[in-house]
Amino acid sequence: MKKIRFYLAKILGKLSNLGLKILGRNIPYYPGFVALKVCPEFLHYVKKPKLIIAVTGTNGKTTICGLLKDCLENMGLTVLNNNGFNIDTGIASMFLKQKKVSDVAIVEIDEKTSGEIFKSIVPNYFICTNLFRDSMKTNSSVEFILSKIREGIPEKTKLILNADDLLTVEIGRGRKNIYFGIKESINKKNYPHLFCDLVYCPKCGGKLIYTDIKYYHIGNVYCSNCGDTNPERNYEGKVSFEKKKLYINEEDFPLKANSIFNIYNYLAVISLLKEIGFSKDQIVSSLEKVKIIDSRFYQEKIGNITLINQMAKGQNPVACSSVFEYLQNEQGRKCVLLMLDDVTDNRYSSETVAWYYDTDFEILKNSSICQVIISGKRWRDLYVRLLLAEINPEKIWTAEKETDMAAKIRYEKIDKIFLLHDITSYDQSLQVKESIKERLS
Amino acid sequence: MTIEILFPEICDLYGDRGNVLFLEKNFPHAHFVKTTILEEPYFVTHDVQFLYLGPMSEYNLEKVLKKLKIYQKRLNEMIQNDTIFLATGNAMAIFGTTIVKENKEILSGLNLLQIHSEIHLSKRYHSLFLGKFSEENHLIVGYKSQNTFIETKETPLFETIKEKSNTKVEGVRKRNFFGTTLLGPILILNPYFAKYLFSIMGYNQELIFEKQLVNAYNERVLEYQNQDTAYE
Repeated sequence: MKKIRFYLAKILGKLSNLGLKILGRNIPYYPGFVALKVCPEFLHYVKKPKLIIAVTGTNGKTTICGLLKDCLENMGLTVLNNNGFNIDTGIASMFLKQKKVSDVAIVEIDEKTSGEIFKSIVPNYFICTNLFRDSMKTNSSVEFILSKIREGIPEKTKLILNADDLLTVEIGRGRKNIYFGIKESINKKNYPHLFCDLVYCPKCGGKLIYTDIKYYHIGNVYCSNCGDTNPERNYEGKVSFEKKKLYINEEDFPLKANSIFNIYNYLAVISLLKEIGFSKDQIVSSLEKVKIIDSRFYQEKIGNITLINQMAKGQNPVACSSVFEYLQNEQGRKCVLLMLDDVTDNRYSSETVAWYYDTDFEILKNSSICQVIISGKRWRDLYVRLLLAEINPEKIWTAEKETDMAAKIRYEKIDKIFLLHDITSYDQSLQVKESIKERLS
Repeated sequence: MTIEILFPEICDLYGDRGNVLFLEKNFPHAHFVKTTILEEPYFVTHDVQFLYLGPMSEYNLEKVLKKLKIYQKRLNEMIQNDTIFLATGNAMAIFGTTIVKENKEILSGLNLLQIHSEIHLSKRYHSLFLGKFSEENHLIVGYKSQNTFIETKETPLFETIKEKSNTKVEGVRKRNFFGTTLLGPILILNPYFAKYLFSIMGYNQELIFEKQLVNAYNERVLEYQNQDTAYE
């Protein structure tokens, strides 16, 4: 009976996929939703590739999955990925897309639901990037998320963890894991963030001493009480910004990113590929051909001005502040466009703005930032936050509608435009990007 | 004036640092003391006019309770002496009689207020909140995001006009103790409430960026009053 339900779910899921295509609707999780409604054990019964890689963590999941997918496809493998739709319905939709069993499935998993997913899917490898406070609506606290992830990790799954995040290290406590990290100091200006999610030792509660901070609680650390520290890094990265290289255990790899959070994403990807058994040459040649997906990072030089479209995940203070820190460290005079509203939330409800006060808008005071342009439904709240961050009011420009933002830019006074958007405002950011390009060409 | 912020390194979840920032901006000459969980609170040996405790993870709730229990008598004395307390999010639970953990273990609170709390880690309640501060007849707007659920027999702080569940009242007011499960920068979101609170502290001037704060507040009140706005 269960098998019959599974086949029915598969047929209905595929039909709904076809239906969406015919109607021209883009609801990627819907076929999976249908399949799971018909057969809640759909993920258990569906045929899966031999190699399954699961990726979770607060930030970087989608970027890592995108890089991994491109690399593995460049190596000639067929790859499934759920493209950021990281709960059960998105994962079910991913499996509905496969005509025959793929070589690899790269499954992005929401931190809270990994335990549930692992009841049906046993990954060979499980990457955890980092753990930070996230949306207050759903994520409660990092301790809670940590306990949820730890709950259901299968015995045979090999964990690939960020050694520089002791919260992530806690996930693998008591297991033999693979660690990646960057021990050496990176010569970039560090900003003292408004909060730290890991002040005390997760093992004994003693005060943690950070000897080198990469960002937030990511870095070299030891406990002043029990001495607990970062584990030995199996894949230790060293960065050369000048050569655009990432050196891992003395081998060099191309690096097409200069933000610290993306360097960690590259490090996780290379560590995994090495762990699977690919050679340095195979990895280098596949990495040469890949780039971070456009919805996360896009850069184009138009005349004398560089336009950077960068995702800064709203409701996620670490993601936003890390992007602010990255743009602060970039050369040149800058204009920053903030499109951080959760468009979906604001359409039906009223977005919470509590996260503004965990986010380092103070970074935008930097003298290289000549203009900050804000728009969207929450512009009044954002305006207050920028004023409280002591940003010169003359630097703050407001646009009633997003489409008016391009007209507010003082193109003659800047070298770079940073267009920062939320996941939900990506489409609007593309419209603004096009308006900017029209004005520049 | 001395303003003590208790354990800001762990009692800082979800934008409540906005309240501290707002206090600092409006009281630039006040003496701010930020006490970590490893230190003895300043109020133990000094006079403090304003004590602030923000929301924390449920894992840290027990740690903070254990820390403050030693000073139960002093805290009671401060409440009776009309020291201003602001406790936001789940911080209020600590001042109550009992906290029931998810595993049904019962913790005794500071027993300073008639509050009973229950922790349900698997149940996250999130809602917008529209209420009324009857004393001044102002509307209150804010957010609730809870795993700690509170019942109280104390005088409520706000009347509920609308939230996702059917509560009638919100928070606790006892003398100058202001406790609310609302979290986030409640003072910034509610400039009129901030003005009231500051007036008790003897500050009756215009708030910093008052015009902009009121603009944002008025817009939010309209949104929250709109029948079509989902409180999810």
